[in-house]
Amino acid sequence: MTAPETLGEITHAVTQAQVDAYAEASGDHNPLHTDAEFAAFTPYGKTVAHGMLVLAFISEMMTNAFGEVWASGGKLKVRFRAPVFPGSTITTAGTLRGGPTNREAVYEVACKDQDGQDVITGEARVPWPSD
Amino acid sequence: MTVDFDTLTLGQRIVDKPLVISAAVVDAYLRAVKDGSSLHDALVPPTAVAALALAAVMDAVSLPAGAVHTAQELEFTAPVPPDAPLRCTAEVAQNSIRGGARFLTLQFQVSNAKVVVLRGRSSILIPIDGAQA
Repeated sequence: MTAPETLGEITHAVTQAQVDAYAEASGDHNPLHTDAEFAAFTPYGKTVAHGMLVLAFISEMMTNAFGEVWASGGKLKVRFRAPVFPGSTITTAGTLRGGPTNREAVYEVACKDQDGQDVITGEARVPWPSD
Repeated sequence: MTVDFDTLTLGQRIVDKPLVISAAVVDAYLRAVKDGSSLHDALVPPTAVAALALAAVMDAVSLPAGAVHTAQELEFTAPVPPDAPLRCTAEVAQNSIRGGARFLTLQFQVSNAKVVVLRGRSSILIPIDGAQA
């Protein structure tokens, strides 16, 4: 069995309604995400999507590729590089770094916005059977 | 609740609480992230477990509005069914100041009975000069 070289990308348009729904579902009610008047007085000047909301797109990509193996043995290590504002369109990417070795397949993963700017970068590791 | 971040010490336990993720919460989460995977018909999305655990952690420390979530590590170690009797614990892994900012790292763990299902580590930057950024 060969680890896929690239993972099927996921694209989502991020809306304020989605951010509001995420705040309710996750319990993260930081007004930076949901209160436009509050956010206007922050350095961002407007509301920002939760980083974990955007990170969920990478997990969706990994789930699509690896199913339950991802949920029972996956690892993520990422940096949030730039804020994601409602109105953005986010696309995920996943590229095999090498291997698999040590019973893991390691992928460089990222989320980019509609301008091609990295908003999340990092790596994802998924268990992979040794030969 | 306001936290005096100067008093947070390495290893200090800041969360130890039950966490139950119902099927309704899973549905709401999946609608919010627009994830239609059929895998989640029977399992909680691993990032949903992480998100709810992290919300509990953030609630415990009452981060100021200027705080920025800069990095995240997650390790999913076992699948989680809806309504599982989970427990979330969290502790301080780093609390330092440099360059006009506080660097706070919080590590958390979610267990189902005695089985660890998730480990996480969140890095947060807090401007040193107050609650408003």
